[in-house]
Amino acid sequence: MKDRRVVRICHAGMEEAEVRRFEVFVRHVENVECRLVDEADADVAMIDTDGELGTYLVRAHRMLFPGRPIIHVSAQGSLGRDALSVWARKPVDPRAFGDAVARALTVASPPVGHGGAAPGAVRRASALAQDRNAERTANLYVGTMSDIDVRDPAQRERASYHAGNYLQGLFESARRFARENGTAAALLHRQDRILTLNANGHSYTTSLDRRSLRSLALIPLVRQDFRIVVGSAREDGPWHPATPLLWELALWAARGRIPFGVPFDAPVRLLRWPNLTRLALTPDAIRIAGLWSGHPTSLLLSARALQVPQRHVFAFFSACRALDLLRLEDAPKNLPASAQPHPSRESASRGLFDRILDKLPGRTSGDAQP
Amino acid sequence: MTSRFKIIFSGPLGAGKSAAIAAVSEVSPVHGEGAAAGPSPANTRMDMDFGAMRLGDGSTVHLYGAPGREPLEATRDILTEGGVGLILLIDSSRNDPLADLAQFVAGFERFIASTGLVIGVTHRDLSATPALDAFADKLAAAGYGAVPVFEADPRDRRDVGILIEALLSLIDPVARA
Repeated sequence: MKDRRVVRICHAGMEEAEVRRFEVFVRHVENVECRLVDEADADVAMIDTDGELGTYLVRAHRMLFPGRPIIHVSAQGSLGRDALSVWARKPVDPRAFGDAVARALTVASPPVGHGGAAPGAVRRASALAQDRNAERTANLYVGTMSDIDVRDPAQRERASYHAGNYLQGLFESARRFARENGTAAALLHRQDRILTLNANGHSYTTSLDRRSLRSLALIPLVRQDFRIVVGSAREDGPWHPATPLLWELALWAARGRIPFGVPFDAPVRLLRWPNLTRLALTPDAIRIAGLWSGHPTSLLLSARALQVPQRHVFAFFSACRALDLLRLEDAPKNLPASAQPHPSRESASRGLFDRILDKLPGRTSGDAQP
Repeated sequence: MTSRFKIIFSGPLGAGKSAAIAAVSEVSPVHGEGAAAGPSPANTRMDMDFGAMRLGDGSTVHLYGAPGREPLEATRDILTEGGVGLILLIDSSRNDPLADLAQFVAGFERFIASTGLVIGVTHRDLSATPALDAFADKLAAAGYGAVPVFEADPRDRRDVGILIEALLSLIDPVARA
């Protein structure tokens, strides 16, 4: 029997029951052996784009995995306008899906010559792709933006975002609505409920899986498609604490940027530490928190003093600001950033601390979880 | 040569000091009574946990957990000598965790002033109150500034690692630079 090519497929936006049906479905796909894997490991993504959130799922997946082909399963046509989008028309049978997978593989990696790539080269390419995917997953919370020169207005703008354009802003508005009206608040996308916050804004329930929620949070939303209405506190649960979600919404929206209007040179004071054992831990978060709680330091100088990418500092700042954990102090007048007070680089204990940190589990430098 | 540095774990009985030390120690943790100087024989021994982390250069950081009851000043000074900071574990399921916090912080006041303090609030599965903010507020009101307060499962190596990392970053945030 001829060996079938193994193709690793991930999905987005499917409910648990749909995933189980899909698992059975792909066993019958001809020509290729489809294996459902985590999104970081996939060769091809499959997204049902007929759902209300299909556009957002596709755009968010494209943002995270720009080189990966996406099979748009839809009765209406493909949402994708790029070369890496393939359409599989509903209802899809295993044979048609197999054809779509084959087309997706073709657009992903055009064959080199008639004989194709050598097995060793394929393995190396696969390993490289895996490394790149792992890196993208690790950078989910902090993005990939390189350090900026704040003297350049265009670069400053590139490093800033409007929280109100993202799910973060809608979530914050819904929480205000709940608190001001003393009632549960529901966030709707057209007619579909995205999530409900209880009356004090401390907990929420959602019908979306985590990945769909993340997709919604990553990209700017069309505000007129969303509205906030009085919700029901008797919604079926489960209800979750709102703080960890808001923390993540801010990280996903910011992706290594800061809210518009925040001065890059104002010293940042941490008023209260985030509960970092239970919140998503971003790279260098603990060191940044340590700096800001003892030595109010500007965003730029923080990155320089800690010798970390600016995006690590910006991401942590945005998340802390969403939880109202910090305060901006007055920016120094006519004082260059290099002249701001900062902790001494000399410390007798520094070498010891470095060695202790090397021994600790889950070091936070580059330790972001997907 | 053995390092003179150590990290102190303290907190009420049952807060999880032994478990926390066991979670990160690279030697078999020891629990028992340790000898210490004191004004009378009755006060010269106290419950102690001991563990250690061996560092790449062969030196060792000692992890001391002591004691479940408030130690005498003399024994506390001996215990904390050379310590880089205090990790205080507070059991949120006890009657008055905020009072426990105040008592232990007061007991280590001098040591904390010259080093650092991190709070791990344990047993949150048994009691979700007081809120972490209440611990942070109490410390801020007492003049300690923004002290790291985390939920912590003392059996969880990652949680304990974060407590230690926070302590070190508080003392010297530029350490890795």
